Amino acid sequence: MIPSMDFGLMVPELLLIAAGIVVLLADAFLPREAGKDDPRGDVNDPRGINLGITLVGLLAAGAFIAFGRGDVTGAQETFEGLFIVDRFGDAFKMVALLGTILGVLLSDGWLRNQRLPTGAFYALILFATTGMLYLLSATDMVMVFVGLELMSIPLYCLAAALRWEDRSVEAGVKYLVLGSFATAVMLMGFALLYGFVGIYTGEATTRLDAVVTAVNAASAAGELPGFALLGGVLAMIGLLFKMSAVPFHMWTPDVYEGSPTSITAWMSVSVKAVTAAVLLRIFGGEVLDALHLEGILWVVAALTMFLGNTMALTQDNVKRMLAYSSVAHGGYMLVGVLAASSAGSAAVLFYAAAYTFGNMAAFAVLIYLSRVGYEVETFDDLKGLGTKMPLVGAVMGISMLSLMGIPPLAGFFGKFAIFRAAVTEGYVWLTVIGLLTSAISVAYYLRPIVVMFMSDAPAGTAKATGQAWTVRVALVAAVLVTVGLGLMPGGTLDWALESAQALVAGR
Amino acid sequence: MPLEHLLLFSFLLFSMGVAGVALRKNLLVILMSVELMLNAVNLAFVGIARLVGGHDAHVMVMMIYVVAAVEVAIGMAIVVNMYRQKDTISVDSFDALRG
Amino acid sequence: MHAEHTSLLAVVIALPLLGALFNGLTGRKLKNDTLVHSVALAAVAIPAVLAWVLFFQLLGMDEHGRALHQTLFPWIHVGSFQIDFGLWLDPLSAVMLLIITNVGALIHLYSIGYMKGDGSYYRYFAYLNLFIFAMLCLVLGDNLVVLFLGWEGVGLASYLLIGFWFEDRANAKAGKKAFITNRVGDFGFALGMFALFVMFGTLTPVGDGGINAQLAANAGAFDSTWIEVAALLLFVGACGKSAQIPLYVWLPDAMAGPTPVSALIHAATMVTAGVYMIARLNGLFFAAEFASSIILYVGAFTALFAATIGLVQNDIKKVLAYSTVSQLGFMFTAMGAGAYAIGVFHLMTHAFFKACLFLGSGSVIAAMHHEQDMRYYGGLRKFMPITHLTFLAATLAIAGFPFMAGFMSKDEILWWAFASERGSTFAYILVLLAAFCTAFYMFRIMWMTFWGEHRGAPEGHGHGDEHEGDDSHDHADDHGHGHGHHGDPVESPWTMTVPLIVLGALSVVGGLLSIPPIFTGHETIHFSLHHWLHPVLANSEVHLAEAYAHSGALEWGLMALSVSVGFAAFLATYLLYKGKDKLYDIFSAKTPGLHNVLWNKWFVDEIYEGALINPLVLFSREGLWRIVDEVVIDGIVNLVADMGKITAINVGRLHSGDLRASAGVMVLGLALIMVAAVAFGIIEVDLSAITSLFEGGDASDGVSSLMGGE
Repeated sequence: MIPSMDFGLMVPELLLIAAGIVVLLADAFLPREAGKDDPRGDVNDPRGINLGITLVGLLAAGAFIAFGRGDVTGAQETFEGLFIVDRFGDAFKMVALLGTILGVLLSDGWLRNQRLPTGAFYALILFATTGMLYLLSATDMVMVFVGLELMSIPLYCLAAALRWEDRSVEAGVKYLVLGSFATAVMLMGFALLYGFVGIYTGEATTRLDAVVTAVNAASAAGELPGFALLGGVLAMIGLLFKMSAVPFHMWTPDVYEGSPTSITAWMSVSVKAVTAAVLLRIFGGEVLDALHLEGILWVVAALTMFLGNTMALTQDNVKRMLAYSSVAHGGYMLVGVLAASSAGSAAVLFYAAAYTFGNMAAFAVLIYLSRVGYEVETFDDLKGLGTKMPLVGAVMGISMLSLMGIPPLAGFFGKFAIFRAAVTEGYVWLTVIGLLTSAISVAYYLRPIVVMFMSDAPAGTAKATGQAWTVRVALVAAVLVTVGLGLMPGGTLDWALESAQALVAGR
Repeated sequence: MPLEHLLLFSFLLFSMGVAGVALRKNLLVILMSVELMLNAVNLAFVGIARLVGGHDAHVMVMMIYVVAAVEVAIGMAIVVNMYRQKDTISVDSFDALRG
Repeated sequence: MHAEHTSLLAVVIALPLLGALFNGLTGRKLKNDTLVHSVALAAVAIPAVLAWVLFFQLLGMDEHGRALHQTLFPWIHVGSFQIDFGLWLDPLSAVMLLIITNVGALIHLYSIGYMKGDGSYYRYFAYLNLFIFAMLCLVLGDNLVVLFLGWEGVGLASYLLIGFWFEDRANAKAGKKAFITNRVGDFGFALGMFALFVMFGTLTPVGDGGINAQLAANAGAFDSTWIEVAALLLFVGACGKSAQIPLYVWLPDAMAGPTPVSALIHAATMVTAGVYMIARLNGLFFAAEFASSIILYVGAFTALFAATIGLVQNDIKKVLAYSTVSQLGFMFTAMGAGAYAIGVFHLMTHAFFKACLFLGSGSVIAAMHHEQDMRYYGGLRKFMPITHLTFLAATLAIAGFPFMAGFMSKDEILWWAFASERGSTFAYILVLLAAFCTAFYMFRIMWMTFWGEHRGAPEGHGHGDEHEGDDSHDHADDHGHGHGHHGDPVESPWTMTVPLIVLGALSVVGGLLSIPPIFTGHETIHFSLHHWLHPVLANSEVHLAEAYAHSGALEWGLMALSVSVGFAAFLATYLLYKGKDKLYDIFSAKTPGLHNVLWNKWFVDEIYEGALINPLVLFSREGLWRIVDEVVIDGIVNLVADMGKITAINVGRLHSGDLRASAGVMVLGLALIMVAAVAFGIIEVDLSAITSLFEGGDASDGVSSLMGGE
């Protein structure tokens, strides 16, 4: 029997792969301008064409998800149920794609500053994005694994993109080794769960919904074996690693500091959003309780919020500070994962969107201020920015305030939605911890503002000028959405709730 | 052969891999240890599949092989690059990122 | 209460926003100061007129159904959480609306003269309009989320205006102080809102099903502990915004901004937001008796504490700043004593006389070329008759001269602090002493500034050593008045004196809006503020304690006492300051110790610095690092290594960048989860698998022992 293969559902993913291949081909075969010099190699590549193809691919994929799905409201499966399309996955795909578009725009500016070739860089971004999209449609262990690796392996390469720089190489090695390590742990968990399903139901399958059904049934009957529980823990750890949840966060600050700034920005938002969605899809609902993962996730979320925020306090490097704070933001999303109700899932989605734009705005400022041969990444670099370039300072300020969760900005409603769902589901103490740790976060998020507006610029610093339009667009878009989501969160919250209901209804 | 024995063997192999990642200095050995962990997983999948039947596990194992190969390829590229940079592939030489 | 629909409210809040946008976006390009201030003034003056229209519309309605409502747009709709951007006008918000738009319009008018020639004229007016918009959101919002939006908005506008001359570091620092202190308060406020939503399922205080109505219908249905907690959390927010102990430290520094801003934001309107919020949620605070007593004492202590600091300051704006903190303390005392209408009454009279005082001081400062030190003033009565007269009227009002505005409201507060069921003699003594200090420092200003001989700045004393920065120098020089630096001061232009006259007149007669019952013999008079607010506050009436309820003689006696306290203060200043040359030496010469304490504001800034900020910095920089890193992490690692030599390597500190340590921590985490799972009995360890390894067996055995888990 030929399995059903509806490629129509997979158009966005195929578009991205196609775009990636076209970029590589264009980069290889298009004629290069002669005469541009750079000690590090050839930068006379067709920069504009590469960027154009990449953006077109991403926008087309996004447009297809937004408008090309027809009027089907329920979930659609294809490839024997390996691949699922539903509103929940689509919503996160949109968030991931928007984050990627901003990431690509920032990459353009960053690559110009570094005088680096663009083709392979964009192709890797496109492939990793494809992995994210597959991951968001995955309902099977095989698909989760393949999607996760398709996302991660290009990221390992991107992290090491500055191959002549110690920090970037270190980041790449650490990410690669620890990432593969976590994947192996997750796979071991999958193997155990697979064994449990086979033994318990007599029908061995890697389908995750079958696993969830079997676990719930066994748990209800009180005959869930220990190794299935072990499998659940191990499988979750692989995903918690990608979320950089404490204690699996050790790689995060190093990798984020060492990676290209635009990739750091993109990784910290999109990878987290996607992983949170996968956690919700696999572990959301009663299976979390059945596998006794609830307590573990509770402690992990609390630790993540606490350590992420406290460690960020002592950083002097803005990039590293944002890395630790991204650990903390992962913790807040985990709170939403715990409260896996439709409100909780919607909160995670909204939080991911708010965090994407707020964080992107901050990184956009860093890239905007950088110039050829000099990267802005310490607090000292921001001194006096508020008086020298008030608008850029204001963008940074708004971004910090949004990340802090000050109303009326996007971040506030994200936190509000998360905590509200958590309280409704009975996680009162976790909410209290969340609130207290966000109070800690105020201290370090205020630092850039204080430095920008309260201290003088060191003598001889020039205004950053001549930045590419791409960075300007990303900067403006990110900050406008951050403010817009804060002033008018209603529509987006509704959209998030509807998407989340699709997930909960399918459980 | 009972399943426990197979799983125990797989766990032992896995633990050796874990210990290798956590204890060894040489980046090549560390990558090999990761491969060891993946092979332990393959062993578990195959063993379970033999016990309970079904083809899904075999698909999984093939996928794991492919991805493991890709990871090694990437890993080697990065290792070579690191060697050019630092003249060593000991992870103790990492000192640029900390705190 | 069923509310009638209106469309005017949207216009009222939209105009200031449009004004702000217009000036903010086009001001720099157009470079037309006349257009800028015309637009800005119109954006407040038209709402001021509309406010009166709305007021009369309310007046024409049935007394118990007086409310107008307008929903602008659905805002946040998620499940049961429904928040609309709704506006609500009832007698309470109408009072605030009238104060904000009318006093606001006067101050816009005044600013035209005061800010003339400033380099960022358009920016100033854009911020000022933005402030009016946010303040109107705050008072008109029909739910706490809109109120909070305004609450943050006024904070933002205030922050921008304090740091307006941002070339000056001190101003920027003051802005930062205000910003951070208010974040502390906002944190409490947000938590309080959360508690309210959990308890009541709504964040709307007014109307049917609102928080006040729910409490009035069945107060017993709610857990009193939670009510107290919510009330206290909200009060923390009020402390931040309304500058009460311990969060008052930002307000005096906030006077670094332009003087009209001090008058509008830091005296008349924004800082009263906390008082308004309590009045808005009167049902909640009525039910929260413990929280009310906290409010009473915080208010009373703040009133006295700030007034004592005001006694010795030489900067005229600093005195008025501490006076504002003190007067806000009076209002909170009233709120704590359950006299909500009287607190609002004092809010209103205070808006009149304090705005007048600030604008008067601004007039003086402008005439003295931005010299703010009163030691160089004196005898200005001759040069600035209008400023002098209006300032005197406001001084008499705040000092409690009989039948002036401040007398009516302050005396009521004193009486309620003494005789209310929720008051106490101790609180009364505190505010009485505060009233003495108030009269003292106000007459001290009068002596040092307007009366006596004109001293002027000594030779060589520039006007720039302790106030606004370079920008304001140019700005002072750009003023049309004065004949060079050492000429005689002259009266300000009409745009500045007209607001002074209006506000001065209101300081004289404003008290008649709510004549205390003791003068009339009736509980309430028909045309009084008290009666007007009655429908809003009817369910939250705290009564006078039994013992004092009918003792008219006692009230007369206390009133006589407070009036004589005011006169005593006047006499004291007369004896101390009349005809003295070196006025500022008097306090420091006679009581150096006390002067030192007061001059340094009770050392509170230093205490905060020493007791809170430094340790916090130290903790985050040193303590946290040391404790977490060296003690906990290293300790564990060393312990593990020493005990079992499990790890041959010496794992460095957490996040040392060591790849193996990173992997180690991950494994450790994994192991901890396993240990916890076993310890809590989630996973049972079954050793039979291992034993069977040595005994042999078959596959089915294996399955059965594997499945024998839970």
